[in-house]
Amino acid sequence: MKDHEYYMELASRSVDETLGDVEKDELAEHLSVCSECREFLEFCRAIEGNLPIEDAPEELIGNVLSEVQKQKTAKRKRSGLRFWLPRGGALIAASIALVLVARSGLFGSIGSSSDTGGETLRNAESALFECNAFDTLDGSAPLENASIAEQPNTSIVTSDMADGESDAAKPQINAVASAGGSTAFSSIEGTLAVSDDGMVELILSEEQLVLVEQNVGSTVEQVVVVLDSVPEVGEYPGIYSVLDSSYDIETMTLTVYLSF
Amino acid sequence: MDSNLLAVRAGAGDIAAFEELVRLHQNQVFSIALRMSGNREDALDISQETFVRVWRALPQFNSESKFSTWLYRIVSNICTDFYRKNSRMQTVSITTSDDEGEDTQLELPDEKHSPERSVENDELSDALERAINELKPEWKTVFVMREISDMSYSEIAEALEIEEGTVKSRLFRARRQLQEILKISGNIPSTRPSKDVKDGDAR
Repeated sequence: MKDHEYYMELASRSVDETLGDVEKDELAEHLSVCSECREFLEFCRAIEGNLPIEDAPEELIGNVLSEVQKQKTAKRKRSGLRFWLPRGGALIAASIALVLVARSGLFGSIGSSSDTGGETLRNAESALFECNAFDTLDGSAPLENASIAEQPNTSIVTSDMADGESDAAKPQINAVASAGGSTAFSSIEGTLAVSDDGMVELILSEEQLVLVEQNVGSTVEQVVVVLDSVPEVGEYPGIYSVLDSSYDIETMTLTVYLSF
Repeated sequence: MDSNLLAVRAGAGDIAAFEELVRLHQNQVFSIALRMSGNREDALDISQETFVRVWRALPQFNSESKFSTWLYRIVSNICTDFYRKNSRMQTVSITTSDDEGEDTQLELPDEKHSPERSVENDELSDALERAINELKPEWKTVFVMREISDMSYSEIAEALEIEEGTVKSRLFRARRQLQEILKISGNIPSTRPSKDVKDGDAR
């Protein structure tokens, strides 16, 4: 003999219209002789639709969008250019200069500059001036004339701006980048940090990240690291082959893996 | 625009698509949160947390899933977390049966001290809202999802990652418990002893 619970569950399901024909007949037969189950079915029907959908408070959507925007910005500011460099912890002790050389036209250099703090995106003219502050190692044409497509492996940049007085805890980075071998250089300044996973990160602003995004459409072939004169890291300058690089669209992060 | 399409766009970083998603679903999310938490302030917090978490998780959203089912899973998880955090509330005990039919001692909120409790409104819907607060969380979740979102058993099962049979069982137990609570509170008449059936006839 089936108990009340069995029939009550059928009654509950009948409100949700999930009974098969056999179950419907079974329930009907039982209800004809059981007031308790009939009463339960009536109760189930009575409470159905008694939980109205409430209007969400007006501030909900504003609060959500504000928080999301905040997180989006914070996430992107934590990202930027990331370089996997052995002994990155030592590198952060001094300013560094990096040159990115791309197969199909990406060109960027990141030079150390302890006296140009801030995260300002400079205009093309001032960027050119910054570029002229560098000399190419091989004494060839300055950066604004360097055609990356033609001589990708000769555009090595040095920097003599940084010295032992750099703020070791929070070095400022000056980055110069151009796309497609054009002369539209832009100057980027950012802050170096070493992430938990040992990556050296260049922390950039939103605008700078847009520039990065525009410039990383091509494969990075080579990164040149030029260190300043800080003795303990002086042994690191050199040209490093790129083992691999990847670009994360979501975080706008270019990650470059170098051989050492 | 279809919620799934909006979700895909939002997952790619489209804020406007995300805003549209929130507009489409905010009332249901808030209503679920309201029934689960019992008050508007917590419901607002839960709703906000839900949508922020949705935003973070959207890049992983599988467009072959139904967005609303995926959304309600997140709401449910946050409500569960909320309940756990607030489990230090004063409670009273009631004996009931769990899904396996075993008697269990439930710790229920003692609403004598709840500012949310309305003592004046005897309407069934208000009484029902108060009674829902006394349901075991697992039963409450299933009941609220069914009532507010009109989800099918299979959708609820998918959202809560439980068997469909468990959904049926919990929904039945929620309704049965609500009937008992409303009887005790005098909001519905007590069941008369059945004269139609001999004692034990149907058992």
